[in-house]
Amino acid sequence: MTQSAQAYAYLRPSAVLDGAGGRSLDLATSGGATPLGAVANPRFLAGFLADPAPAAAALLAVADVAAARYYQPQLRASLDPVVTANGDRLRFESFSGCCGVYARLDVLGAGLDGGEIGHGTTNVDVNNPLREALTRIGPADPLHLAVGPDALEVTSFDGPLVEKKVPLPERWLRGFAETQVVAAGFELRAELPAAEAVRFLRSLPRGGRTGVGWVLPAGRTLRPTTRPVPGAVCLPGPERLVALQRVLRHALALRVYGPVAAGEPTASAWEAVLPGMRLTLTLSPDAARGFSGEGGVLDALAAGTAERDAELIAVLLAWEPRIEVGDLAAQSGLSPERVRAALTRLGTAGQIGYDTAEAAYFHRQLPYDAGRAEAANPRLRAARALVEAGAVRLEGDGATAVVTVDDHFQRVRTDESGRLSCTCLWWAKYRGGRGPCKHALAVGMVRESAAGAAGAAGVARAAAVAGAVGTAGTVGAAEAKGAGA
Amino acid sequence: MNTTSDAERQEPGEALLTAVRTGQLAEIPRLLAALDQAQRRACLPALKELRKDLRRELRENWSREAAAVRTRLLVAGAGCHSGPAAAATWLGGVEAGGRDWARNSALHQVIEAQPVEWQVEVVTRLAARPARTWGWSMYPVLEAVVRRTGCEVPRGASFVRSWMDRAAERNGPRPTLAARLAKDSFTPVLLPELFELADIGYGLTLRLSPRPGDVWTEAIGELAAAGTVDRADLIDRCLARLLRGGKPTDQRAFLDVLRALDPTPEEYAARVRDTVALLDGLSVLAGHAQEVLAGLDEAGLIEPEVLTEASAVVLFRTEKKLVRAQLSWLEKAARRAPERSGPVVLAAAGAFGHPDAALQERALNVVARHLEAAGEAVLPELRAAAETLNPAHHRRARELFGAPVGAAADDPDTGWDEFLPPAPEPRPLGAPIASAAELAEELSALLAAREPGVADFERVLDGLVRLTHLDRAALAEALEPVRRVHPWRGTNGWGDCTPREILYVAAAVAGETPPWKLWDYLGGKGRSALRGARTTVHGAVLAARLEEVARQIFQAALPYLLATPTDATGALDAAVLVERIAGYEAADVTPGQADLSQALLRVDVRADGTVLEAAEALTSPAGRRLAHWLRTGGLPGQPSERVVFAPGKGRRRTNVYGDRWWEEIERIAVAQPGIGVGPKGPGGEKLTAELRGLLDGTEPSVARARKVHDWSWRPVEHWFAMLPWHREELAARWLDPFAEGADRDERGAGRYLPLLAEAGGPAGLALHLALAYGLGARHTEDRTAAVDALLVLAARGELDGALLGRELGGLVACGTVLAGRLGAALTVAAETGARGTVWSVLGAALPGLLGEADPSTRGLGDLIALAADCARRTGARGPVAEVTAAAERGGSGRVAKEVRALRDVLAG
Repeated sequence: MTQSAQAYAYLRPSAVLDGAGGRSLDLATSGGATPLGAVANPRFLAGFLADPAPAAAALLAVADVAAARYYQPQLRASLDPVVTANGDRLRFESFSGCCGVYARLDVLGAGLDGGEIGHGTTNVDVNNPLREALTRIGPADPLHLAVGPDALEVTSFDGPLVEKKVPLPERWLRGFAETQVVAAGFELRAELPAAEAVRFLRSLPRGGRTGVGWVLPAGRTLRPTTRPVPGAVCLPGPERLVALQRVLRHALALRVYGPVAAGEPTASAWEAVLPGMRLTLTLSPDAARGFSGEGGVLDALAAGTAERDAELIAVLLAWEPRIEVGDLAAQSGLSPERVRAALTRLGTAGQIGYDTAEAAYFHRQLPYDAGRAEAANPRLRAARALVEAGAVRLEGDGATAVVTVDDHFQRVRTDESGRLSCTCLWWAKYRGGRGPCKHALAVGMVRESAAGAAGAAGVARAAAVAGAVGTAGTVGAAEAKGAGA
Repeated sequence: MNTTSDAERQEPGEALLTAVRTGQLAEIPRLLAALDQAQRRACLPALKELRKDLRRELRENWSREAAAVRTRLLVAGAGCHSGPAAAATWLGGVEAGGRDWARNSALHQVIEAQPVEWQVEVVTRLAARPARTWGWSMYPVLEAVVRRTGCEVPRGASFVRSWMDRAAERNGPRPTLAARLAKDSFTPVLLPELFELADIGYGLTLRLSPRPGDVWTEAIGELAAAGTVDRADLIDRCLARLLRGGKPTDQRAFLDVLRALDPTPEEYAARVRDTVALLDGLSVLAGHAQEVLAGLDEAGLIEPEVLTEASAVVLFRTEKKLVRAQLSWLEKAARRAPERSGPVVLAAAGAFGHPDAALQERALNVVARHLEAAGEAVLPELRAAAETLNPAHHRRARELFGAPVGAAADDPDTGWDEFLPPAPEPRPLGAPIASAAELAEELSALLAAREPGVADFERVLDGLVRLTHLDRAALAEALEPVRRVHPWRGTNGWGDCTPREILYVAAAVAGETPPWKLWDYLGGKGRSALRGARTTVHGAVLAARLEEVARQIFQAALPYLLATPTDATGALDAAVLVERIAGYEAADVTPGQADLSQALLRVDVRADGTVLEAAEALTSPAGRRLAHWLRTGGLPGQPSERVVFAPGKGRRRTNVYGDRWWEEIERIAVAQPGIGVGPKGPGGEKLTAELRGLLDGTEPSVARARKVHDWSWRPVEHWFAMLPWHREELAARWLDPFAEGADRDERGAGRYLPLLAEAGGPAGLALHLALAYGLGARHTEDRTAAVDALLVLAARGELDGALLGRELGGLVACGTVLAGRLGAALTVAAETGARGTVWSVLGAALPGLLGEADPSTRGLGDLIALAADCARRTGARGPVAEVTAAAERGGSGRVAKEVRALRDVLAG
C-alpha cells in the first residue's frame, strides 16, 4: 500500500486552561485552508460553549473515532480530527483508522454563545491531558472555546512547535472523501426520542465482532431483525456505535439515515441530537469493509467532462454551510445536473462534505492532498490500462462489449436502464454494490471517448452525455442511442 | 615507505576481520583496542558487506556457525562505528533470529571502551526506538551504560517496560519487589512513566510471591508512603490514567494502584472533579468513586451540589447496585440535613426512568419520605419526571404528587394498540432471463455468492433451459468466461448436492461429454455424478432435478421449466402452472417427472374457480394430473403427535469425546407417520421417490438428533422451497437443530424460523415448538430471528399463543429453555409494540411457570414482571388460578413479589 506521512505543527498543545476569566478550552490548529489561502495556524473562533458537558463528551467521541480501529484493532492509527468553520457553525470531523467509521460533530449556532465564527478548515490537536481535562468538565461551569491561536500569539511566538508525524495511508484518504458521496444517498429512516434512543443504544454490543445487523422502525423505537425486510435499515457492525455511549446521557433524540433500497448490507448514519449540536456516525457496510473500496465515485472520476466543471465550481465555493445547487447553477451557468456531477467530483477531492441532517452539501477543504489519492484508485488505474492496451471491443448492437484480459475475456452488458454489468468475479460478488468493476469502467471510458470524437460537432449530444455523467451507465446508454441513430 | 606503513596499518584490521570470520568472540575487544579510529573506519565496508551476506545466509540456511559469525560481527561493528547514530542503527537493526549476542560480556567491553559521550548517545538513541527493534535482551547493555555514566535515564515506553520486566524477575531468593525498587535509582524517574503504558494491567497485578509488597500495586503504595516517589504526583497520574479510559484490565489494575496509594479524604476532596468524572467510567471505578464521594459528603468536605451532579450520572446507569447505593446516599444526606430535602428529592427523581421497575419504586420511597420537608416547590418538576415511571407506579405517583400521571397512550382505559409488523409481502421472482449475456452474469453471481438465494437459482436454472431452446451455441459461448472461473470438475461424490451443482447443467450446455453416459459407464446404470454417500434427502431432490434438466439440455426441446416458483418462498401460482402446461401441450412436449412432481408440491392449491376450469380443460397426462391435484387439494398435512424425548443413560460406553451429549437432554418433540407412497394421479402416477423421501415418517431418536448438527453451511433455504406448503412437516423433521440452539448452545438455526413463519400450510405443534426453542436460544441473533418469526406469525393471524405458551411453560419447567433467555426475547417483542401477543403467550405459560418450575429459577421473576407489565398495559384482566394460588403461598423473594403484583393487575 502506498502511503505518505502527515506532519502537524501546532504552536502549543490543545488544553483546558483555568484563567482569570474562567475555564477555557483552547484547541490548537495546524495547517489550514481559509478564504485567504493557506494559513499555518488559523483561528476560527473565540466564544463560549452553551452546554459545556455535552460538548466535551461529544468532542471526546470524535477523538475516540479518530484514534480507533474497529477492524483488526491491534494495529494502531491516529490522525487528528479536522475542524471546519462554516461561518455559522463549527464541524469537527474524524475518520477511523480502519476506514469504516466517519464521525462528525456539528456545533450549531445554538450550541455557541457569542463569538465570531470564521471560515476555513484545519487540523486540531488532541492529546492525553486534553482528553482527561474534557472528561472532568461538569455541567455547571461556563466554558470558553477558542479554535486556533490569537493574532498576538502567532506574531510573538518563538517557542518550539508541537510536532507530530503520522502515516497517512492513501486508502484512508480515499475513504474519508468517499464517505460524503455515500452519505448523499441517505434519507431519514427513523427518529427515536431520548428514552427510546438510550434503551436502543444500550442494547447494542460494546465489543467483539458482530456481523451485519438490521433494525426496523417499530412505533417509537427500533426492533433488531435478522433480515433486510422492507423498511429495515442496515446496522453493520453495531459495536462500532460505541462512541455514541459517551453522549448517551445528553442525547435528546437519535436519528437514523440510510438508503431506502435495501437488501444488501449498506452504509448508514446514526445521529445523536444534542443540545445545540449533532453528533453523527456513518458506518461502512461491514466492519471489514472500509469506505475506500466502495467505488461510488469511480464513474464520476472516469468521466472526464466533470473535471472542468469541477474547477469552475471550486472557485465559487467559500465555506458555505449549505451549498444550494440552484444558486451554483445560476452563478456558473451550468445545468443543475452538471453542478451535481461537479460536486461529486469535488467530493472525491475532499472539498465537499455532506450533512445528512440538512440533506445538503457543505464546503470544506480537507487539509490533505486528497485528489491525488482518488485519482490513483487501483480500479481506475486498471481500467485505464485496459483502455490503453486496446482490450475493449464493442460488439455489434452496442449493448455488449468484450474486454480481453490476459488469456481470457469478460463480457460487459448494458441493460435497458443503462446499467453496466459484467461476467467477472468482482461484479458477481457485489453486483454493482461496490461500484463498477474495472471492465465496466474501461467500457464506459471507451464509449465516452468515442462519443467525444463523434459528437464534437453535435453540441446537443455532448450536453446529453454531460448531463448523464452521474453514472457511466447512463453515458453508455446515451452513446448507444447515438450510435444507433 | 608508504607501502610498508599501509601494510602495518592494514594488518590489525585484517586480524579483526579474520577473527570475525573464524575466530573467538572473546578476542574481539582486544583486537579492537589495538585499532585507531581510521583503522576501525576502514573495516566498516567489509563488515557491512559481511552482514548483508550473513542476513541472506541465515534466512535461507540457518546454521550455528553462521549465527556465531553474526554475533562476532555485530560486536565488532559496535566498536568500529565512531558515529553514535550509525552505531545505534547497527545495533538496533532488525535481524532474523534471536538477539542473544547482546547479552554477551564482549559487547559490554566494547561499548565501555568507547568515549562516554558516544555511549550516552547510542543508549539514548536505542532507547527511543520501538521495542521491536531492540527488545529485552539489549536492555542490560543500556542499563549498564546508564548506571555507569549516570546520564539521564531514558523514559521511552519500551525502556520503561523492560525495566518493569527486569525488576519483576523471579529467579532465586530475593528481596520483595518493594524493597528492590526502593534501592533502585531508576525508580523515582521511571515509576511515574508507568502510568503512560498501555496494556499493562496484567503485569501490575501479577503477584510475585505471597509476601506483602511483592506485587507492583502494593509496591507502588509502599514507595509512595515512604516518600521514595512523589505521592501527590502519582495520585494525579493515576486519576488521569483512569479518566482517560482504556481496556477494563488496565482500568482495574490502576484502580488497585489508586487503592494502594490510599489518598486521604482531603486529597480526594482536592481532586473532586476527577472523582466525579470517574462516576461515568467502568462499573468498579464508579462504585469506588461513589463510595469516596459519599464519605466526603458526609464529612462535609465537598460542596453539596456535587451530590446532585453525581446522582444525575449514577442514576442514569443501569447497574442496580450503583443505583441502590446512590439512593441510600441521597436518603442519608436528607436525613442528616433536612434543608437538603429539596435537591435530594429532585435528584432521586432521576431514577424514575430507570429500566428496572423495582428501583423506580425505591426512588419513589426516598422521594415520599422527604417530600414534606422539600416543600411544594419541587412538585411540578417531580410530576414531569413521574411521566417516565412504569405504569405500575402511576397510582402511587398520583397520590404523592397530586396530579394525573401517565395519561399517555399506554393507559389501559384508552385501549391498547397492538403494533405488529405488516404481514410479509410476496416476493416475486422477476422476469425470466432473456439473454445469454444476462444469464452468464446471473450464473456467475450465483456461483460467487456465499449463500445463493432460491430466486437466483431457480431463475438461472430456468434460463439455462429457455436459452438452450433458443440458441444453444450462443449460450455456450456466453457462458465461457464463467465456466473458466468455475469449471465443472466431473463429480460431487464427497458432499451433499447443493445449488452450486448447477455447473453440471452448464457443462451439459457446453457439450462436454454427456456426463450421465460416462457415469453409467463407470459406475453402472443409475449411478449419478451428483449423488454420493453423504447426499441428504434434500440433496437427492435437487440432484434429481439437475440430472433431469441436464438430460433435457441435449434434446433442447423444452421451452422452459414447470417447477420454477413465482415467489421466493418456492410457492407457485396455480394459474401460472396451468398456463405453462398448456404451453407444453401446444409445443407437444412432455415434462420431466422430477420437474412435474416438484411443480405439484409447489403449486398453491387454494386456486379459484376459473383456474380450476382452465386446469380441467388441459388434455395431456400432466394436465390431467394437475387438475386432479388441484381438485383433491394436493398433498394433505400430516398429524403431529407430541412426544417427550429424553433418552437418558445409554447402555454401551464409548470413548468418543462428547458423543454421549444426548444423555443429558430432555426435549418435547414431534412424531409424524409419513406419507408412504403418497397421493396418486388419475393414471396412478406417483410423486418421484426423492420427493416422497422428504416426507418419510419421523420420530425423535438419538440417530435423528445426531444427523443434523452441521446446518451452518447447508443450503437450507432451498430445502424450504422444495415443500413451500408443508412447513409443519418440515418443522417436525427439523426440530433437533432448533432445540440444539436452546439446550446445546449451538448457533445459527434460528435464522430459518422466519422462513418457517413465512411459508405456507397450517402452523401446528411442530412449528410452535420450533419457535419455542428459538425464543430460548443461547445466541442473541437466533432469539432475534425467533422474535421476527413470532411477530410474522402474529401478523398473519397464524400464531396460537396458548399452544406456544403451554409448551414454553413446560420447557422452562424442565430446564430446556432458560427463563432469562426467554425473557430477553419476549422483552424485545413487548417493547416494540407487541405486548398483546406477548401476553397471549405468557398468560398461557403461567401454569407451567408457576406450577411446575422451581421458584428459584433464575430470571423467573423478570419473566413474571414482564407478564404483569404486558397484562397491565393491554388491559388483560381475569384471575388465573395458578397465579392466585402462588400469590397466596406468600414468600419474600422476587418471584413471590412479582406474582402478587400480577395477581393485583389481573384482579383489575
